[in-house]
Amino acid sequence: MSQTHPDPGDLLPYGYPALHVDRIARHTPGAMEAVKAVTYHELDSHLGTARPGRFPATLTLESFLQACGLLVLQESEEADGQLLIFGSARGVRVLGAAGAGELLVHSVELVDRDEETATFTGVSRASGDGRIVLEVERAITLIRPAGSLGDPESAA
Amino acid sequence: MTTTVPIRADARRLPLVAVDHVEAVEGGFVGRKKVVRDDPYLAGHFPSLTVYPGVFLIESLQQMLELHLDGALGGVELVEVGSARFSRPALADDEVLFEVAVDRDGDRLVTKATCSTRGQRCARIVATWRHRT
Repeated sequence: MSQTHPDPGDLLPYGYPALHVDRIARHTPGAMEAVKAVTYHELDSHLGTARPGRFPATLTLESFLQACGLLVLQESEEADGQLLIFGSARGVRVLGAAGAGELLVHSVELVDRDEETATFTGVSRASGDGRIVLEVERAITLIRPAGSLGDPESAA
Repeated sequence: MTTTVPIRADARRLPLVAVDHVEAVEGGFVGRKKVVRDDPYLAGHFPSLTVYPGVFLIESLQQMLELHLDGALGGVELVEVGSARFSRPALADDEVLFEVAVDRDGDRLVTKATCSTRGQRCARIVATWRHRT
């Protein structure tokens, strides 16, 4: 598979098993489509014997937020040493879940950006039939130096 | 990870138990979750420093609501996060205190949660849930 965009694992500071974006599929200024593959290999550790396997809502949101982080880092001249921290959100609606064997496809849009904050909107779809599983009216991430994480005044 | 918390066989949840204790109070419940440095799921967030992810606070809230309602994990689904604001990180060895008001809205449940660590607020979350069918 040709790789025309950076690998998410090279941009985001997460290690296993916290990285929840597998590939950047499309990037235009201010917008990104990023993909996570949902598999039983991963879900079985989440779900035990539950069937059918569906990706949990909170991890769907985490994956969406990581796609937002990728968009900002991709467009930053100084991505190294920057962290995107979940600051706030409103209007996050869970409409379904991606199942095992599907791709979770995030379409995120940068609404506003200043030095310290970035505001996003977007949706997440399941690839099987394109149904929307998550709508996010607004999500705000804080842009912080990596070394500030231990600072208790930073957000989560 | 072993746990003594009952879990429904059809539960859809994170691989960690995100709740340590829940106690019913007038109008809702109070819950506690300690951030454990060597929890396997937190190993990657971040490799150099353990930070409890903001969405895990939402997951903790869900699991606390499930225990409060049913005495077992896995019976509630998230419908909407009306608003969430994270003001401080929850770090390794922090105990996060959740003070949660629960209201019914038809067949839905609305929680208004204030989360704090070391006596200072770290998050406020307003969310809507429904029982799984």
